[in-house]
Formats: sequence, C-alpha cells, structure tokens
Amino acid sequence: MASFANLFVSYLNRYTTTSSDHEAVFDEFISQAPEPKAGPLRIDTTIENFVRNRFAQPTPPSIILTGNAGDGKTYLCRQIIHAFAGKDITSWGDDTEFRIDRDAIQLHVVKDLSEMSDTAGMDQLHQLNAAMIATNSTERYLIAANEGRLRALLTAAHLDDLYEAVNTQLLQGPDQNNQRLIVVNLNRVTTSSYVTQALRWMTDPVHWEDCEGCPILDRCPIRFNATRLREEQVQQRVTLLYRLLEHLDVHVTIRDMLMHLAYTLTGGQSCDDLIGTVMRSNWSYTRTPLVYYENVWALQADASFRRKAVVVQQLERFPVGQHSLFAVDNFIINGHEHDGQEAQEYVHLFAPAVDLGQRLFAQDRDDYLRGGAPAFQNDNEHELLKWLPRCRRKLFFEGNDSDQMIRLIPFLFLPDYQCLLNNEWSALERCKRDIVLGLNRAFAQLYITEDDNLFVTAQYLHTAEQPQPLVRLKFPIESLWLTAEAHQTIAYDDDRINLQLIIGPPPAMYGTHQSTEPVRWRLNLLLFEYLMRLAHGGTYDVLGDECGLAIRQLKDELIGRFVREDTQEAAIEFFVADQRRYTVRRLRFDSTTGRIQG
Amino acid sequence: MQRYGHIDESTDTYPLAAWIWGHRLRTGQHWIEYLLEFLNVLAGFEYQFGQGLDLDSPPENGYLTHYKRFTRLGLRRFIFYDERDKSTNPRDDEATERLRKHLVQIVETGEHADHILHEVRTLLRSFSAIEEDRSWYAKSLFPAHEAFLFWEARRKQKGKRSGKTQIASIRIDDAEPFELDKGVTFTDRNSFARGGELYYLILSAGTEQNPQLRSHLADRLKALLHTQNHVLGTIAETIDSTWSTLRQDTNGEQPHRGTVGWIPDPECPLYRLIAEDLGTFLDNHLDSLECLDLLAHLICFHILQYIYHRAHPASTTERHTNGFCRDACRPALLIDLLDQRDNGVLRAQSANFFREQEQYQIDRARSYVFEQLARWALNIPDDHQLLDELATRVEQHFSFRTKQSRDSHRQLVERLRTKYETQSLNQPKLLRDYCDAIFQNAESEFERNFLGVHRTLAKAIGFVAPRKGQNARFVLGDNLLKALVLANLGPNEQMRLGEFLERLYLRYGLVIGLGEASAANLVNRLRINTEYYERNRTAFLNKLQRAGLVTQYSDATALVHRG
Repeated sequence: MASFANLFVSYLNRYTTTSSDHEAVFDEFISQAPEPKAGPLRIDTTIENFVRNRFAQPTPPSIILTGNAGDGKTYLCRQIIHAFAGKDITSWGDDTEFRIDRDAIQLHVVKDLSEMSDTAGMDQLHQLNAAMIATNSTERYLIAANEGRLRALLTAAHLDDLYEAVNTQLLQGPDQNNQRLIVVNLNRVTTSSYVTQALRWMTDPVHWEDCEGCPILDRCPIRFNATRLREEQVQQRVTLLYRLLEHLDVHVTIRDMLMHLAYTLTGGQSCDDLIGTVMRSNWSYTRTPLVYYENVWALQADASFRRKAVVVQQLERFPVGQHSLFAVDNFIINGHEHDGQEAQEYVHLFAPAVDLGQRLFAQDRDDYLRGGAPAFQNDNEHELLKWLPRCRRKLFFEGNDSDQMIRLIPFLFLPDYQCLLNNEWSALERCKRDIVLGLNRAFAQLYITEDDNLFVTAQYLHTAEQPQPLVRLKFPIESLWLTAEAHQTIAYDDDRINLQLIIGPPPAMYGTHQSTEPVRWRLNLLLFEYLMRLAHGGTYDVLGDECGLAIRQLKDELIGRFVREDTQEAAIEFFVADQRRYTVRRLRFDSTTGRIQG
Repeated sequence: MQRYGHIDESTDTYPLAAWIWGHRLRTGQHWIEYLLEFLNVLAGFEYQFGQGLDLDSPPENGYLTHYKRFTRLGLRRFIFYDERDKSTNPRDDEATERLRKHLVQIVETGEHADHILHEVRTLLRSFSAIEEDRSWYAKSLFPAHEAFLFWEARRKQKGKRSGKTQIASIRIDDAEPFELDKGVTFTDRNSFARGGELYYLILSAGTEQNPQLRSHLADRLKALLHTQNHVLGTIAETIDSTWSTLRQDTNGEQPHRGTVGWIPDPECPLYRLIAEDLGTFLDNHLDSLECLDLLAHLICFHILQYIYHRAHPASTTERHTNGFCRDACRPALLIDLLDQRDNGVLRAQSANFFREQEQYQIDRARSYVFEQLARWALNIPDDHQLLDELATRVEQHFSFRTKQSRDSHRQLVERLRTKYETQSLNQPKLLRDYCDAIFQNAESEFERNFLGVHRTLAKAIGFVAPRKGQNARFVLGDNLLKALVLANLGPNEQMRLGEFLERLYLRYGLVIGLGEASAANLVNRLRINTEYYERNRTAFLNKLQRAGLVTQYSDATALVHRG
C-alpha cells in the first residue's frame, strides 16, 4: 500500500516536538518547513499593530519588549523587519541586530539581549540611552530582552535614569504616549485572546483537503478532531480553559499555547503511523484514544511530553470528567430515552462517530441498561463506566447546556466568580459577605458565624486548650468592597478582569494621622474558591496548602498597616465558645481603680 | 577547647554530648520550650546579652552574674490548678482558694465577679503552651507578654501521703500564705534543659564584636514582650501581684536565680550568622503572636544548624576558631519539595541525607571519645598504669549519671584488664577496644538523651516530614519557610531566586536546585537525573509564589521578598 500523508499534520507536529533545540529556536524551527497551503500562522495581535504604528510615526519612540521565552519577542522583531525593510528573516544566523533605514531614521532591531555578551549588551543599552538623551538623534531601537537580564545589564552599566524609566513602566504598565521610550512586558498579555485565531487556522478546511482519498478518512481521529475543533462552541470552551488558567495567575506563552493546541489536534501522531495502526487492527471500534477532548489533558501522552507541556500541567487543576454529576451522567446513560429537545441533542451528540468507537458506545450502553445480570457478572467494571469520564469531557466541549458545562469544572464557586467578574451588583454584595465569613474563619481557624464584621485575629496556634483568638482589628462590612477591574491598554491584549477585595481603614483609625490608604487584595480564582468553601462549611485543609500562606500574608499586611503600636487601649476582645457559636467577649482593665471589668 | 559561658570550677564532668554540643541539649525539652527558656533567661538578665559569664565579676556597670527565675506561683495556680490537676495537694487547694477570695475584689463588683474570673482564666489558659498532660507547676504559657514568663517548677512529692494528712489536719487553715508555697522548687531541669540558655549564649557569643546588633536584638525582643499584648500582661500581673502581696514574704527568702551553661568554640562564625539572622528577622511588623511563633521555629532551626555544624566530620576547634568551618562544615541537606510527584526519587535521597546527619552525630561522639583517650594516653608514660589511669580520667570527664552505668564502666575496665594481662600490650589496640567499650556503654545514654533532639526539633518545626513514621526526610513547612525569608531579607529587600537559593545553601546547606546540588557535589555523588533538581526548584518557586513571597518576572527571573 502506498503511503499516504497530509503534510499539514507533520507541519503541526513540528509544534509539539519537545527537544531542547526546538525550544531554543522555536520560531525558526517552524518557519523552515515548507509553507502550508493556507499560509503560515498569522496571529493578529494588538502589540504588533501597536509597535508598527509607533514606528510608522515620523519621530518614533524606542521600544523595549520584555517577556518569557515563547511570548513572541523574536517573532515580533521579524514582523517589524518585514514591514519596514521588506525582508523575511527566516534564520537570524549569528546576527542579533538588524538595521533599517527609513526616511532619516535608523531603526536598530535587537532580537535578544540575552544572546549577547555582557559588554555587547551594555553597549546596546548605552547607545539607546545616548539616543534618548540627545535632542535630535535619529537612532531608534527595538530591543527584545528578558526582564531579569535587562535589569542586570542596566545595573551593571550604571544607567540609573534609564533603569528608573524602565522600572516605572514595568511596574505601572507601558507609557503609551511616551515620545522617547516605551517598555512593554509581554508577560501581561492574555494568551487566551489568541486561542480562537490559532484554532481557526489549524482547522482551516484548506489544510485538510489533502485528506481526501486517505484510506482511513472516516476512521481518522485527527480528522475527527479537526472537524470538531472547527466548531465555534468548542473553540470557545477551549478558550475558557485558558481564561481559567489566567485566573489562577498562570501566564501561558504563545509557544506553549501552540504546542498544546497542535497536540490537542494531532495527539502527536503522524499520518503514516496512524494509518498503519488503523488498517492493521479493528482499532476504530474501541474507545479511541487521541480524540481532542482527551488530548486537551494529554491523557495518553508520555511523561516527557507532559513535563514539557506547561499548559497540560496547569490544566491538571481542572480535571474535567473525573467526578460525577448526576444530571450529566444521567443524560449520558438515559438521554436517548428522553423526549423533545434533549433527545435531539442526544442524537446529535452520540451518533456513531470516531470518538465513540462508531457504534461501540451505544452497544455498551444498551448492554448496561438491558443486558440483565450477565452484564455485571464478572468482577470488572462494566464497560459503560469506562466511557463515562470521556463522555463527560465530550459534553464539556460539545454540550449545549453551559451551566452544566461550568459545573463539570471542579471549582464549586466558579459561577459566582463569573458573576463577580461581570460586576453583577447582587453577587458582589452576597459574595462580599461570604468572603468576610471565610476570612474570619481562615484567620481564627474556628467556625465563626459572624459576618457583619471582618475580624483580624491572632492566637497561639499550638495551644493545648480551646483557642480564644484575640481580635486585633475589626472592620464593619461597609468598609469593604469587592470590585472587578479590567486593565485594558492599547499596547497589547489583556482581556483579564481582576477581582479585588478592598479593605478600608477600620473606624478606630478615623481621624488619626496614620496612613489610611485601603489595603487592596487581589482575589484570584483559587483564593476565592478557598474562602467561599470555608464560608459554606468547608474544612481548612482543602486548598489550604495553596492558600494558607496567602491568607496569612493578607493578615500581616492588615496588621502592619492598621494596628497602632503605641495604643493605650485598655480593653481586649476575643472569641469564646458560647454554647453553639463563637461570640466576641470583652475585658477591660481600668488603670485608675486597678480593676478588671467584663 | 575554649568554652564560652559559665564554667563551674567545682566539677568538670559532663555527659559525652555536652563536650561536643555544649552544656546542654536534651531530648526531653519540648520544641516550644526552647523559646520559653530563652526568653526567661533573657528577661531574667534584664534584656542584656553577654551576662552571667563571669560569676566573680564585681557587680558594677550593672553586670549580672545570675539571671532571675520568675516564679509567678499566684498566676500559674490561678490558671492551671484545679481539682482535675494531676497532682492535687491540700496546700495548693488552700492557696488557690485564698487567692480567689482576694481576686474577687479586683474585678468589677457584683455577682458577675465569678463569671469574669472564669472568663479571665479561660482566656489566659488558651495560651497554654504545652500539649502534654502535666501537673500545674510544670505547665507554661506562650509568652504573649513578659508577665507570662515563669521558670520550670516542681512540688516535692516526697512523703506525700503522711505530709498530706499532717498538713491537712493541723496547720493548713492557719498557715501563712508563704508556707503554702513551701516545697515548690525551681531547680529541676526537665523541661528547661538549658537549650534556651544555649541559644542565649550563642547570641551573646555571636554579638561579642557587634554591640549594635546586640542591643538591637535585646530591644526588639523586649518590645515584642511588652508592646502588643499589654492588656493581657497587666491582667496577668495584677493576678500574680495579688498573691505576692498576700504572701508578704517576711522570712527574707532569697530570690530564685540561675546560672548559664556553656558553649564550645566561642569564635565560631555560625554564632555570628545566627545573631545576624535574628537581627533581620526581628525587624518586622508582624503580629506579636505570629512573630513569637515564627521565632520559636527559627530558634529550633538554628539549634539544628548548630548540631549539624558541630557534627560534621570536618568539625575541629581549629576550623571553628579560624572561620574555615563555614565552608568545611556546611551540611548537605537535600530538601524534597516534590512530595512523591517524582515517584519518590528525591524523597528517598533526602531520607538518606537525614540518616547521614544522624550517623555524623554518632561518629562525632565516637571520635571524640577516641581522641580524648589518645590524648590522655600520651601523658601516661607507664604502660602498667595505663588502663587504671585512663579509667580514672574517663570517670572524671564523662558523667555516668546512674550507679548502673558507673558499675558497667568498671566491669568493662576489668574485662579489658583480663584480656590484656594474657597478651602483650598493644597500646593503639587497647585504646580502640576501650573506646568501643566506652561508647557502647555511653551509647544508650547518648541515644536516649541527645540523639533524639534533632529528630524532635526538626519534625516539630516542619523541617522534616512525616511527623510520625518511617523515612524521615527534609522538607520546608510553611512556617519555617516564612521564618527563613524573614531572617534573610530585610523589610524592603529583594533578592533573585537564584541568589536566594544560593544563600540558603551557603548559610544552611539547604540543597534545592541544580546549582546548589552541584555546589554540594551531589550531582556526581547521587547520579540522579538533574531534571529532578530543576523540578524541585520549580516546586519551591511555586510554593513561594502561592505565599506571595515572590514576584516573577520573565524568563525565570523571580525576586524573593517578604511579600
């Protein structure tokens, strides 16, 4: 049999290769392959437009790009050279700098400061500095660098003013209208903004035309994946997973995203191997691995791929399909017997297809439902139960019911979190109360029921007796706010909305001279989940490992900012166990009479 | 070997471990009692370091030869003594009753008085520091305030039964209050086995050349015990002084005082490092209870460092004196942060390092015995006298606490004598045999009273896991990690992760990432895939990140800070 292959599959597999060479020069590695039919991947990014626009000005500023390896710094440099010099640089070779003469301006593109020697790097920065100081310099720079290296070189070169300028923009975001220097940190880009674009390109029908005539056309999981991932809803749900990672403060680089999405599509398989496997056995009538909803979590991948695939590691946080939801499982098993719309959806979802082993799933289901005793006779789990986790994952991407889909993600309070991000007023008020309660419980390590005030408490943690946490600070609930804030900028894509808990100074501090700046505490999805669970009766150990120190950090900050050291306060408040709940008690020492008062 | 502290001229007999790790550390001391004893000693010296070294020093310039032992019998009876106590005594029943009667007068009048007293009592009791079931006099409070500090006490139980009836029937009702306190002594050293004193001496030695740091430490610790919980402190003081006023000690009883032990090799740079750490650590704005809790962790961590430092095979007085010990005696403590995510590879390796530390301590003890014997043997010219002379010196040098151990020492000397009477004398062989025999004899004492120290402390502070069970390995618990960050980075300081890891290695021998593993020569020694170290480092970074102790910049440039 003549070998048959869609070249685009091997093109995609270049993204998933995990050798270390490949990591170092990813961009070049990809671009050296023959161009695919629908053209190479072009992700339309705000940053690219921004940099182009700035350089198109008559007197452009210099721009420094910082970011992780894989954030697309080199790619961006290439695009700028292409745009202004009309040159395609597929291989940089040993050159790290490229000069473009445009009108009276000399634009120096430095693709990576880290690849230069210390002296050469410092030299570049000195030149940049000189160009910035001189009133009529015609030299401009586009410098890509990782931040650590940049800071180190600036310090070593004693360029204090430049360091300060860079530092300010790194901390506060880019100064978009600066005429001399703009610093953009690509680390802040939300990569989830590009998932749809990348998937559209990967599943572009033009790329898959070559499959016609393939002997396993109707049995091929890769082709199946391409078809499903082309659907808008599926793309949105993949994007959702990326969004969620961003809410755990995980920054995914574009390179990591491409590696993951390409793997999701191909499962790391080549056409040759796959055709061989499928032709040789009745493999297509099993629970086919390699379908996209398994590949998203790389469930079949070998350990070395999992270690390199950052997204896969992070997605372990969202193990969709591992826990049972009655409504979902019921639908999977009994859905075909319902009426109306639900049945229609069922037929659409569970029609024989590659991912269901054609009719295998339906057979196993019928055996489970009607097989009688023999179906359960051997000690093994019934075949249908093995289908369940994957069918749940399938529903996560393909099911219509978005409420149910959200509940498949094992974060119980995700729906609330999403309401908050939309700034829904009622949710803000309700959740604020829960957060206060959760914090009270987290601070005191007791099942406090009070939620009108936030109590910052201190106690001896290893006491042998019933603990009675001392109240250090008390904030009425009115002095707290929950807000959702976006940080959009014209310089790059940042679609993330941050949830913040703002804690104003306690009433005891009104009218004093001390700082009354409120404390702003960023509440990511994990902390939110932890506190909400505590408020709803959860125990301290679930997520405690991840959240314990962060909560203490908040406590330290509140105490550091608001507790007055020189206080002459003569009273002390503390929690005591009072029948069925904990209540606050107060003791006073009256120094004039020398008596203790209740 | 030079010693730093108070050297008792009348005796120079100490347990084997004391000759290596100072006088002294003992397994029985609870981890939190290192903090309690240390603060007791410091407050007893009126918050001055470097005191109590020279007992003959004239009392000018405010130099203190002894520290004061706080008794606070009124307070501790009020808090801990009741009918459920392990060792009730009619005297204490009576004393508690009388104190309560008077206390009613210092609380708000009215029928609430009892209720308020009860509330005060449970509040104070919630600071109970010791989890074990002990008698009231052996319990202690977590030092939220100086007024919560008191020294270990014991009520003599000799002739308890007869004494009880006698006192109960005849004298107790009209006994003077101070008589009720009789029979309570403050000289036992069960819980305050001198571990806290040792820490006091370490800080004193470490700040000999740095008066500024010395007073910084003293000031901050004093503030820690006074500033934040002053209401609690005042209440505790009021209760205690009610009893002492009642007592009106007319017999001119001497105040209870104590003297410090000693530490070896006062020039050792480790002492300066510990003092530096503490100086940085105390520069914080944490809640005082949190700060004290972390301080307890830090103290135990420092004590562990001290044990490992001196147990190192390269540890010699010369190196401790000329400062080369910092590099020569750095331990290699491989920390496992992967927690089985690597199928236990690092866990197993880390467990080996824990066992290695234990073995080092045993080896050190053994070589100490051998070196001593060899040194003494040099000065004994007469071969016939050799064994007897050695035996005398051994008994003078190493304390055999029980009659049993003394007897067994004599027996082993006799056995050696018989053995060497029949064959020609081979001095080195005899020394080796004698050394083995002594060590076997001392081993059980050494193991029981000393070897457990590092195990107990390391587990208590989350430096070793699991708390119970086999395969102990080095880890970094949240509290310990936080204490270490505070001890190494000042309030507004930042440090690159790489530097921070290097610093943890250089200062404490903690091995986390690949850089430290190669510096400690583990890469060649263990021959495990270097990727494990990388993952370990990432796990450490994640831990810091979750704690908000790090700001991550691009390309693994992460800056560690206090948050």
